[in-house]
Amino acid sequence: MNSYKKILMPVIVLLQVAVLVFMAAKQEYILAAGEKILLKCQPVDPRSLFSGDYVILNYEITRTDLETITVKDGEKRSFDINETIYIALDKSKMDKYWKAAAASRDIDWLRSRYKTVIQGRIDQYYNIKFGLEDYFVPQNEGRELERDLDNVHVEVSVMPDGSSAISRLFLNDREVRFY
Amino acid sequence: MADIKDMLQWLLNEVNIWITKGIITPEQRDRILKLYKVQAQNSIKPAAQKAAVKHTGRINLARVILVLAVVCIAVGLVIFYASNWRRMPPGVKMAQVFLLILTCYGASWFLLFVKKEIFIGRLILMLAMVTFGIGIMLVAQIYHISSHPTNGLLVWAIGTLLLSAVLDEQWGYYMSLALFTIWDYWEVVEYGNAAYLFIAPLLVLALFYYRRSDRTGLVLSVSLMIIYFFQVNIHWAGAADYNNKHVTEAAFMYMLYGFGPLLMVAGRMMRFNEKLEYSGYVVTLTGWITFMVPLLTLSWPYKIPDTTPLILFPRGTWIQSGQFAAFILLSAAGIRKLSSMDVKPHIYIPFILTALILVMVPHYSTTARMISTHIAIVGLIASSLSFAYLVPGEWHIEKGMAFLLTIAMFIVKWLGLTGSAFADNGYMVAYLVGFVIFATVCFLVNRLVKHLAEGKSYPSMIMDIITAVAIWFTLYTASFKIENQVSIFKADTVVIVMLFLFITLAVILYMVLMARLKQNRTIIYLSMIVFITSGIALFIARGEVSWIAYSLIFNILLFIATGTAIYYSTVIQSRALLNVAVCAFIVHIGTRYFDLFWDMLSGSVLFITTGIIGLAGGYILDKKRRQLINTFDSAEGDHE
Repeated sequence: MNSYKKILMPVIVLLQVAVLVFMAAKQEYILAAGEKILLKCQPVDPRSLFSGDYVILNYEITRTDLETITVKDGEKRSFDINETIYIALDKSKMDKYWKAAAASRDIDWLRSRYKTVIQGRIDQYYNIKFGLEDYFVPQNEGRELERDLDNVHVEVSVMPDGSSAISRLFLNDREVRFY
Repeated sequence: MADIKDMLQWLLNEVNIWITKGIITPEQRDRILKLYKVQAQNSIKPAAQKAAVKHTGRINLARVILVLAVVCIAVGLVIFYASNWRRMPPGVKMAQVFLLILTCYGASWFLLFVKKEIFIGRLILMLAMVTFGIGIMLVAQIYHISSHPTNGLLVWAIGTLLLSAVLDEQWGYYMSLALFTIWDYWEVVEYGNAAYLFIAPLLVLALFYYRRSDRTGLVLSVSLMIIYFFQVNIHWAGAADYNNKHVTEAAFMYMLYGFGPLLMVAGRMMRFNEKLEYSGYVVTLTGWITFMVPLLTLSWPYKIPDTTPLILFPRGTWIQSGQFAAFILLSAAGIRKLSSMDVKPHIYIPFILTALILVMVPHYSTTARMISTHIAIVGLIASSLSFAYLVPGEWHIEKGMAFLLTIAMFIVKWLGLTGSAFADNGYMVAYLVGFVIFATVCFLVNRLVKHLAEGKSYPSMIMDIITAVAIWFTLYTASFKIENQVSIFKADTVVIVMLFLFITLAVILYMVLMARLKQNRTIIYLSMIVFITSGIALFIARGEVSWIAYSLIFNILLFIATGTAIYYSTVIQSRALLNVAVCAFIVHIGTRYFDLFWDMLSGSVLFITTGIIGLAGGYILDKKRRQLINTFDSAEGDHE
C-alpha cells in the first residue's frame, strides 16, 4: 500500500464521520431551537420495511387544498411534482392544532404575514410531504399506534427557514416514549 | 537436463504466485531468477503461465469462510440497528455506531498498512463501509427523517466510492456501484425522477474499472449506462405536454432506430480493445435488440392519432429527433472509422439506411408504416444473414444476432397473425394464409443466402426447421372447420397492399432462386405448391364458399407439408426429422378422424384424394429412384 493511501484513508473516514455528525447535529439543532407546534394526524395504513419498523403519519396539512387556500397575488396555484412549497401555519387560541393558512413558493412573503412557515415538497400524488411522515418505532411496537392512529398527534419543531423535525409523539394526549 | 528445465519452469511459475500473494516484490523475483540465470517472463511457456493462473485462482476454504463471516456480520449489524431495540436508548446507539465505524476502519487500516494482511484488511474495510451506511440509517431512524430516503443511500454510495478511489479498492467499487444502482432504481421507480446524476458515478467507476482492466466491472457499468439512456429518455417522453404526447412517444420509438445502429457500431469498435471486449459484446447485442423493438412494435396496423411528420422535427420532439440525427451521424462516422481499420462494416449499413427511410415515411399513415416496416423486416433479415456469413471477419455475435432477428420477427408475426385469426373469425383464412406467405418469403430468403454462402458453414437448417414447424402448425390450424369468411377484397386497403407486397416478394425470390439453382429444386417446388394453393384459398374465400373447400385445400396442403418433411429427411438422411414428420402425419390423421367423424362423406373424400396423391407421388419417386440406380449401374458397367 502506498504511503499517500495510508494518510488519505483516515481523512476520508473522518469525512464520513463528519457527515454523520452533521446529519445528527442538524436534527438536534432543529429540535432544540425550533418553534414547537402540534399537528393532527390522519389514519393511514402502516407499513414496515427491512430498514426498521415505522408508522406512516399523515397530516391534515398534507392534503391542503391549494385551489382554495390563500396564495400570493398572481402566483400560480398549481405546483409541479417535486416542487418546493411553503405552507404558513396558524391557529386560533381556541384551537389545539395548527392548520394551513396560506401557501406559496415565496417564504419571505409568507413570513411577512405569518410567524410559522413549514417547508414541504409536492409528491407524485400531488400531496405535500414535509419529511415528517415516518415515525420509527422498535420492532413490532407500532401496532398500538396503528390501531389508534386517529388519536395521534405530533409535536413538530419548526425553524424560521421552514425546516422541521418531529420532537414528540402523543397518543390520546399522552406522550409515547419507547426508550 | 529436462528435469532442470522443468524445475526452472516451476520456479518461474512459483515466483509469480509469490508476487500475487505479496510474499516477494517483482524486484526480489528478478534477483531470485538471476541467481539461477533465468530470464523473467520471457522464458515462461504459455501453458505453464495458464497453470500458474489456475494455481493462484484455487479456492481457499479459509478465505471463503472469512468472506461469508463478514457478510453474516454485515447483514446482522444492519438488521440489529433496523430492529430499533427499545432497551438501547438512541444516544447509546449513536455512540455505539460511531465506535463501530471507527473500530472497523481503524482495524482495516492497521491490517492493511501495518500488518500487511491484505485480504483480511480488505474484508474489514468492506465491513467498515457497511457500518458507514448503518450510521446513516440510524440517524434517519432516531430523528425520524423521511423527506427523501434515497439521499441517505446517495451519501453512503459517495462515501464508499471516495474511499474505494483513494485505496483503489476493487470490492469497494462494486459495493458503490451496487449502492448507486439501488439509489437510481429507487429514484426512478418510487419517485418518478430521471436521476440524471446516475451517469456521473457510472463514468467514474468505468474509468476505475478500465484502469484496473476489470472486464466484469466494465460490463456492469456499460450495461448500466445503456439503462441510464433509456430511463432518461423514457422520463422525457413521459414528461411531454399532453398536446404533444402522441408525437413525442412516436418520436421516442423512432429515435431507437438511430440508437440501435450506433450501439452495434460502437460495440464492434469496443471489441478491438482487449479490456472492452466483453462490454462490446453487450453493447452490440443491445443495439440489435434496440432496433428490433420499434420495428416489431410499429409493424402492426394500429392507428397513430398524431399526424405530424417526424422528419420535420415537430415541436415537442426536438430532444428525440435531435438524438436520432446525432446517432445516425455518429453511426456513419463509426462505420467510416471501422472501414479505415480494415473491417468491412457492410452489415450495419442497411440498418442506418432503414432508420433514415423509416423516419421519413409518415408514421401516422398505417398503410405506409406497415409497408415500410415489413419491407425493412425482410430486407434486414436478408442483409443481416448474408453479410454476417459472406463478409470475411470476426462476426460471431452478428451471426447469432442475424438469426435471432429472423427468428424473433418470425415468431412475433406467427403469434400475432394466428392470434388475429382467432380474434377476427371472418378473416381467419386471410390471416393464416398471410402468415404462410410471410413464412414462405423468409424460407426463400434463407434458401437464397444458403446458395450465396455455398462453401461456407451457413446453418440454413435452423430457419428451415422453424419455417417448417410454423407452416405446419398454421396449416393444421386452418385445417379445422372454417366458415363465413369475408372476401379479402373487402378488407382494409393496408391488408390487401401487404398481401400483394409479400406475394410479389415471394414471386421475385422464386424467380431468382430458379435462375440460380441448377439442382436441388424439389424443396422449392414443394414450397411453391403450398404457396400457390394457399394463395388460391385466400382469393376464393368468401361467404358463399363451403367449409369443405377450405378443409380439403388445407388438409391436402398439410399432407404435402408433412410429405415435404419426409422427403427432406431422406435427402439429409435424418432419422429424427423422419420420426417427427411421421408423428405429425399421425397427429393429422388422428385429428381428422375424430374431427370429421360426423361428416363421413367429406372425410372419405379427403382420405381417398390424399391417398391417390400419395400413391401417385410415391410411384413417381420410386420410379425415379430405380432409374437413378439403373443409371449408376450402367455407368459402373461402362467404367469396368
